[in-house]
Amino acid sequence: MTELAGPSTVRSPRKDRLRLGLHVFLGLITIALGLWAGLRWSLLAIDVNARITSTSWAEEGPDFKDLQLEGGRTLTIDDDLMGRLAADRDDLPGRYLQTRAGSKVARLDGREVPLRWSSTASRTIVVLALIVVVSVARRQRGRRTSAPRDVSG
Amino acid sequence: MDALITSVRRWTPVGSLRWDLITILAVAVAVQVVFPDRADWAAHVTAGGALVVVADAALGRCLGPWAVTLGAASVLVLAVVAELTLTGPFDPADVAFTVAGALLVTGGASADAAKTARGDVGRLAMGWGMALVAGAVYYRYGIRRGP
Repeated sequence: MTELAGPSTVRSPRKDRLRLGLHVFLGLITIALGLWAGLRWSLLAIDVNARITSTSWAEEGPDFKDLQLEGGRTLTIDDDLMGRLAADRDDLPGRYLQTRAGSKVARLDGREVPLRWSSTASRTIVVLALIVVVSVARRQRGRRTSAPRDVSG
Repeated sequence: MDALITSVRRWTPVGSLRWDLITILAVAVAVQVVFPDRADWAAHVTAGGALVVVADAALGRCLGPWAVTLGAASVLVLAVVAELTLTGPFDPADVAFTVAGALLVTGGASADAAKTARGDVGRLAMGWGMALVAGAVYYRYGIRRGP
């Protein structure tokens, strides 16, 4: 005899698929957000056209640095990029930084600085993807092992 | 592994809730190990998962398994709004790790509560969820780190 717990826990395959679809959709958004973060840290997806007013350690840790720009905007960038912009970050205040979203080159007072994908961003995306895979696996395992099912057709 | 986890008798969360809590904390620890300088990401994972545990405890009885799915979607909206208003500057990675934590919850606690007709499971889930949210906030803001 099948015990049904109540109307709220009765499941249908169609609703299960819908929930799985939404779960996977949220997982893809999660990975896309990680990708977006990486593009921002590398300045690959940002328009910048301003003078640097100061630099500082980012609260995100030693892999990141902050660039404060005229107008109060703050950019958190990958530490490797900071090294390519200037050997000593104290040299950066007062310099003019230009780049466009999608460009692989930034200009610092006219000098070309290559923009590259951040290695931290790669790790971030891999970890996020693993968490999403684990979550889908747990969800599917939980769905198989949870008891109540609508058998009324 | 199931037997090992189940045998921890002094730890009150039972069944699916216990597994949800262990998974959230284990993933948060793993994130902290992989990114030792990003304690905030471990906190985001924990807070995201804990918020869905709370949503499941509060709404699982009327929404069933949808409580977890809608809870995770709500966490996405909440995380974006919080990043834009309270905890900025906006960092998409912070939102990503919060939602990733939210997705880890299976919502078995409310199903267990319904099956066993034990309201205490729901209250226990609510308590653990809120405690984890508070712990995550403390881990993020209460401990001074960095240069």
